[in-house]
Amino acid sequence: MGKQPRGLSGENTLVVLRGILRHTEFILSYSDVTVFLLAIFVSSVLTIGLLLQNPVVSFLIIAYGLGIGLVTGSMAQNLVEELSSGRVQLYLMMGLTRKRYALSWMLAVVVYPCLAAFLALIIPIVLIDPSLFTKPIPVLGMYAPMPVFSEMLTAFILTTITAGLSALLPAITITKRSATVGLPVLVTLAYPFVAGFVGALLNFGPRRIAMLMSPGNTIFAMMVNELRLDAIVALPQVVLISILLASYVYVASRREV
Amino acid sequence: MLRQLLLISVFSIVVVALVEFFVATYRPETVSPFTACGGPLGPGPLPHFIVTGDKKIYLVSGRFVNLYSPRVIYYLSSDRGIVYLRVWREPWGGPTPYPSTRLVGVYSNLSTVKKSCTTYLLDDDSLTNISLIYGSSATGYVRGVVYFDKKTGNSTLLELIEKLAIGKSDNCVFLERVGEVARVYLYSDKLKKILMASRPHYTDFFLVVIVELDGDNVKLYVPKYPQVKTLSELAELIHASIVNGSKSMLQSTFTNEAMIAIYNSLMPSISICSNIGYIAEIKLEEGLRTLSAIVIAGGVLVYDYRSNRRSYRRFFSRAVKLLGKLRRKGRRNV
Repeated sequence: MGKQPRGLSGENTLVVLRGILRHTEFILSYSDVTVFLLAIFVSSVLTIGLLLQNPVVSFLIIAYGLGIGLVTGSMAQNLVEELSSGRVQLYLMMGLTRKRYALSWMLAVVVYPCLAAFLALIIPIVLIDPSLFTKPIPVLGMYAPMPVFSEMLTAFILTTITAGLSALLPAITITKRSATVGLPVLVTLAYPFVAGFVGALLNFGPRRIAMLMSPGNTIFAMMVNELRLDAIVALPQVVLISILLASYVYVASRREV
Repeated sequence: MLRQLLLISVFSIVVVALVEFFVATYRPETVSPFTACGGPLGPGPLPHFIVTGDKKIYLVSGRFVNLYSPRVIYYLSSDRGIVYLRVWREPWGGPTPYPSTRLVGVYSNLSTVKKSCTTYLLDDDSLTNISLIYGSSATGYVRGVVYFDKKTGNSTLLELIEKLAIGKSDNCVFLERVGEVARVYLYSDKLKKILMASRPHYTDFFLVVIVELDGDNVKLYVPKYPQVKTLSELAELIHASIVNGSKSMLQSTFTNEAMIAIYNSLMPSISICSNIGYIAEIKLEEGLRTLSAIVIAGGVLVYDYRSNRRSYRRFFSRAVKLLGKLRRKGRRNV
C-alpha cells in the first residue's frame, strides 16, 4: 500500500478535503437556490441569444452584473446566522477546524457561484460552436459591438469572486446581516456607478473610466470600455480580489468562535 | 456541490437542445401569390425585393452578422406564381458553405414576410420618380436600403456608390431604373481590402458587374480595369462604360438557359469571367426574377474568386472555351 498524503496536522489530506466538501454540500443544501436560479437564467438567456442571434445577451450581462452582489450577499447571510446563533460551535465540535469551516464557506459562496457561472456560460458555447469562444457574440441585424465571449466569461468570474469575498468578509468579521448584503452591493453596484459618474465629471475617456470602475465590477467596466476587457482594465479588480482574499484568510485564521 | 453543478450542466444541455429543436422545426405555412420577385435561380445570396400585383415593391433585407460568418440566408423561390421565402440558417463559422445550410422556415405569406424582414413600401409615385439602390454583398448580406432620386443625375449615383462603399456597405449591388433600362452594379471594395491584405499582387483588383435591363434583354458586363486604383476612378469607369457603350467589351447573345449553363459550368470558378469582359446578353423572360438571378451570379463571381486563385489560368482557358461553345450553339439555335 502506498503512503497516503498527509496534511500538516497529520491527517489524511483526502479525508480533510472530503470533510470540507461535505460541509460545503451542507451549506449549499440550504443556500444554493439563488445561485442555481441565476445559473439557469444565464444559461437560458445565453442559449437563446446565441441560437436566435438576439441582442438579449446584453440584458444578460447587465442582469448578472446587477444581481451577483445580492446573490452572494444572501448566501453569506447564513454564515452570519450560524455565527450569531452559536450553531458554528456544533460544527467545530464535530471535528471541523476553524480554517476548514472558513474554507468550506469560501467554497460555497465564492467557488460554487464561479463554477456555476462558468458552466452556465461555457456549456452552451461548447454545444453550439466552440469557435465562438474567441469571437464577439453574434447578433442578427445588429452591428453594434458585442463582447468577445472569453472576455465576458473572465469578467463574470472576476466579478463573482469579488462579490463573494466582499460578502464573506463582513459576515465573518462584524457578523451583521445588513453588512453582509450591503458590502457586495456597495462594491459591485454602487461603487462602479459612483466611479463612472466621477470619471465622467473629470472628463476621463472610456478606458480610464472603465479602470476606475473595474475594482468593483469588471462587467460594468467592460460595458463602458466598448465591451472589451483586457489585462489593464481587469487588473484593479484582481488587486482588490487579492486584498479581499488575504483579509479573509487572515480574519478566518484569527477569529475566535 | 458537484450535484448542483451537474444539475446546472444538465439543464444547460437541455436548454440548448430545446432551443435548437425550436429553431430547426419552426415553419409557418401560408400561401399568397406575387406577380414578380427578386430571387435566385439557385441557392445563393439574394437581392430582396418583391413586386406585388398592386405595383408595390417590398424590399426584404436579409440579415447577416458579418462577412466571415453569415448566419441566415433569405432565399426566395417561386413555383407557379407562388413565392416562397425560405430562411436558411448556416452553421457557425466559415464563409457560406451552402450545402450544409439547413432550412429553418418557409414563409409564403406577404404579411409573414413583412413581419419577419425589413420591408419597404413604395407607392406608385415613388416607383416612377425614385430608383432603388440597395446594398448587398458578395457573400450575401444586405446592409441597407437607399432610395435614389434619378432626377438628380449620375453624379448623385456616383456619390452614393462612394458613400455606400466606404460607409455602410462593403460590397454593393446598385439597381438604377431609368425608363426602360435598369442597371445593376456590383462591386466589392471590402474584398479588395481582403485581397490586398492576403495577396499583395492583387492590389488593383476590383470587380464590377453591370447588368443592363433593356426592354426584353439583359446585358451583363464584367469589365476588366486593372488600371483602376481608387473608388472615384472606378465610378468614372463605370460611367464611361455605360455612356460609350461596350466598345472595349466582348459581346454575345445567349438564351436564358445558356446563361444558367455558364453559371453552372463555371461554378465554383466563374470568377475567371472577370477577365473575359462581357459575359452574356440574355432574354428577359421572367422580369425582375431573371435580373436578380444574374446579380446572384455576380455575387458568386466575387466570392469564388477568392477560393480559386491558384487555378486562375486553368479556369480562364476553360471559360473561354465554354463561351465559344455556347456562342456557336447560340448561332445554331438562331
